[in-house]
Amino acid sequence: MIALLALAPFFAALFLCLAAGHAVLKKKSLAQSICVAQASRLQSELKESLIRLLRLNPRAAVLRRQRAAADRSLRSALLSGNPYAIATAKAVQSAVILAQTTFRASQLKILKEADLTRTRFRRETVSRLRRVEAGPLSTPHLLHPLFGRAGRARALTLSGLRSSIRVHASAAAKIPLLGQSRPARRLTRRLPAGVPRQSTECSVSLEEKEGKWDLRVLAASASWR
Amino acid sequence: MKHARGSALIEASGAVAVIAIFLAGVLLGGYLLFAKVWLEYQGEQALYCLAERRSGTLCRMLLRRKFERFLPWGRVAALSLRTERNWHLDLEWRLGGYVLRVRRELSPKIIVKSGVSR
Repeated sequence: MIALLALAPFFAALFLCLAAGHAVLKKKSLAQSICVAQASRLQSELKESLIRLLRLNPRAAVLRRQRAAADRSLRSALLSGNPYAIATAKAVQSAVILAQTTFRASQLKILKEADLTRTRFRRETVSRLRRVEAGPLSTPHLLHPLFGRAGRARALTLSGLRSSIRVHASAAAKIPLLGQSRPARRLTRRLPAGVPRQSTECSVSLEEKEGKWDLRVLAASASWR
Repeated sequence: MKHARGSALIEASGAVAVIAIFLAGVLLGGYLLFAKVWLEYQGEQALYCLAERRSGTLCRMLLRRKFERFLPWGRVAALSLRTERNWHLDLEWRLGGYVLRVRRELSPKIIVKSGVSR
């Protein structure tokens, strides 16, 4: 009995190691599932914005063609020197520019809504990860542009609108989240540099298949580095 | 006076045997607990591996490697990692007469609802 009592510290240490290992793996698993779940939910909401923007693409193409035609007409009218022709061409160009400006505003509104959605999800994700004490979140990637290729978004100029934003159908949104599980700051300072740290990086995209946009997990695995 | 040389040794050997059996039992229990936690965790990782659209063969190989590395005693009696409509894992691990079964499923719907279904 006394001998067994003498082994009590060993049993306690063994129990603590098992409990600590279990807690670490559990926290890691939870952080990973939160990461992937949040990225997936975000993409599901952003999908609506993506579809709405893509639906505007044909109109954007029409407006570009109208603008090009209006510019050509104005150039011809200026070359001809006919004041009536010049006035008419200028009026047509102004009308097209107005239509483009209005159209761009509607595109920007959708992009702004997508931005707000991303900000909301960022806050939610940080809050959820904090609850499992999963450490800091690398935020820059979460604010990655909605679309991988946002088309030719030319700047607005005072003299007129050059172009509307065009979103390509093959664009994919990647919202990587980097969550890092690590000990409290106080303990971290004492850890030597070579101690491996665990990180979770997850990335979820949207993929078009037969006219439907579905979620696609690009990365969800944990790594030690 | 009768001498009792050797009786302490006999008594001690009995006590040592009891302690050794107890210790072995505790260590075995600890190992099995660790195995359970490790199998469940790695099973989830294997499902995420499938969710990333990596090949089933690769994910199974990575999973087996993790088991062999960290669970030197015991063997994987059955392992099924497959993609149907969802991603499925059926795993059976044995150590002597002790059997651990892990069954998990993952899908985009389950991911969005947060986490692997249990």
